[in-house]
Amino acid sequence: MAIGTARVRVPKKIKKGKPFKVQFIIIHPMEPGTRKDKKTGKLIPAHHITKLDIKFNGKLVTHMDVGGAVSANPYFAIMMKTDESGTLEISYEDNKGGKWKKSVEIKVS
Amino acid sequence: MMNRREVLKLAGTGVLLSTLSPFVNLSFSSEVEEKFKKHVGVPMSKVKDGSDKIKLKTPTIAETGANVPVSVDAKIPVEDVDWLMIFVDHNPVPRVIKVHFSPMNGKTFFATRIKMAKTSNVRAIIKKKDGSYLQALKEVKVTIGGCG
Amino acid sequence: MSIKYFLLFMLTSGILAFSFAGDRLDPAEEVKKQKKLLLEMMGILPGDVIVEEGKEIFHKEGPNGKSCASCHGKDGKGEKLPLVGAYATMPKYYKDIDMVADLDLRVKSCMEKYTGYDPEELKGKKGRKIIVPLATYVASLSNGMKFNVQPRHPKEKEMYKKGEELWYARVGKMDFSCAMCHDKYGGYRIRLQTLAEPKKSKVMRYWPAYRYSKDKMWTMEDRIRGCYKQIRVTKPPFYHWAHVALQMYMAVNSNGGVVEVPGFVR
Repeated sequence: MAIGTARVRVPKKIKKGKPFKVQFIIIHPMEPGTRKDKKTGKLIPAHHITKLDIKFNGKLVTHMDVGGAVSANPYFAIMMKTDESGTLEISYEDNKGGKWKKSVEIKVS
Repeated sequence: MMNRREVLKLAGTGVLLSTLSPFVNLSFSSEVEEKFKKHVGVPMSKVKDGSDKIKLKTPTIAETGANVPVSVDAKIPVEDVDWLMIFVDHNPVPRVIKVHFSPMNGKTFFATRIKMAKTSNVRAIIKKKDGSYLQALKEVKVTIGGCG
Repeated sequence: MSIKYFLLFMLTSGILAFSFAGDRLDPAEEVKKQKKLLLEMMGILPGDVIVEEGKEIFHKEGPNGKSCASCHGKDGKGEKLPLVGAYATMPKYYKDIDMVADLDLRVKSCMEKYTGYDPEELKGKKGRKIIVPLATYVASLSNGMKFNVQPRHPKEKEMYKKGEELWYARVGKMDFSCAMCHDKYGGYRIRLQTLAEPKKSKVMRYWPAYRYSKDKMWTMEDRIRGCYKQIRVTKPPFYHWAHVALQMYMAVNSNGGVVEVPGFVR
């Protein structure tokens, strides 16, 4: 499953200025670096998302410092409110240099 | 050789003391306190109980520590919040995630799934912009599955 | 004198009993709340993303330039070989490969025969990365439909018989059979985990499933391999007839169940 793929869910009807829920899932192993390989006994190297930014029309809405203890294929939910329509962009990176972005359109009525 | 009276006295005191054990917090280890201070920035004593304002939802027992749902809904205006941290006392790295909000969030709300190494307190710690700290905590018991 | 201490003893044990009685929640019931909370909280499940990945693979060209959609149509809705509803009739006998195939085997053999994939690339664990999402997507095309597997072809009947034998056969170091845990003790607990009752729950209708204790999408072949490992028996290799036989048996016992793929299980 392609690492870094994200899927975002926002409500179909979004009212001006009223908070709505933004939910998203990212495909990522989120290896904490503290687990041992059962066969070799060696530590499995850390491979997890470290930073995540949620921007709306270029402005930073939320910033997350993500640790390895967040579950694999992580799910996040935040609330957001806006008076105008625009583009919601979620950008994230992991400790192995992976960098991804996912954008969705927000239409306010 | 103890006589019956002395045995009864001892037994009685033992039982009496064990009734008090739920009230003594024996899980307060200095290691957790040190890690708390390192990740949060202030000692545990500086963090006030915010359980009336912070609604922390977790299961009480988890069948698997790989996916414990955690949701935080705080009655604190998001403009007053600096950050929210999810902290798990007995994880190898207790700081699970730190969320920096902005007024555009509208509400102090956050949900995710976390990994827990073993039974532990799960804390939602909020640092407010006025420099004060609040937390809500819940103990989540982690069990391993039947067959593996 | 001794009466005093006797009364003290009774008083303190009474207090003890009282203080612990209040904490008594049924742990098995409490533990079910984890899954309930997960489903309540999440508006998107990881399984949904994997189904989408499978959809992309379905419509992408294989090494020989053809895609699954070339024969089966867009979204599996082609006129000649539609895949909508196909999973609900599997395992089934297929003339082109002259054997009864389950979901995994059918997807793999199609990829090799018709879209040009090299069998070496699809072998074992390597191939799972592409076969599992694709199989999950194909199975999801039967969502909402009722399972209807009727062994008619002699090979299908043979598979059903073998599957039934495997289900009841006591094997391995621990002398376990599927029937022991999943028929006789289905619904009972091992530690805090309630044993599944595959026949009652019509198990085939919600597999492939996302296993949240491992954060992996598993098809029923993965699940069968996992079960054999847990009863200390050599795992049947992927696409082996033992998988087809067991799934045939379980599928017939799932008839009438409505397909809801992907499942979300521990």
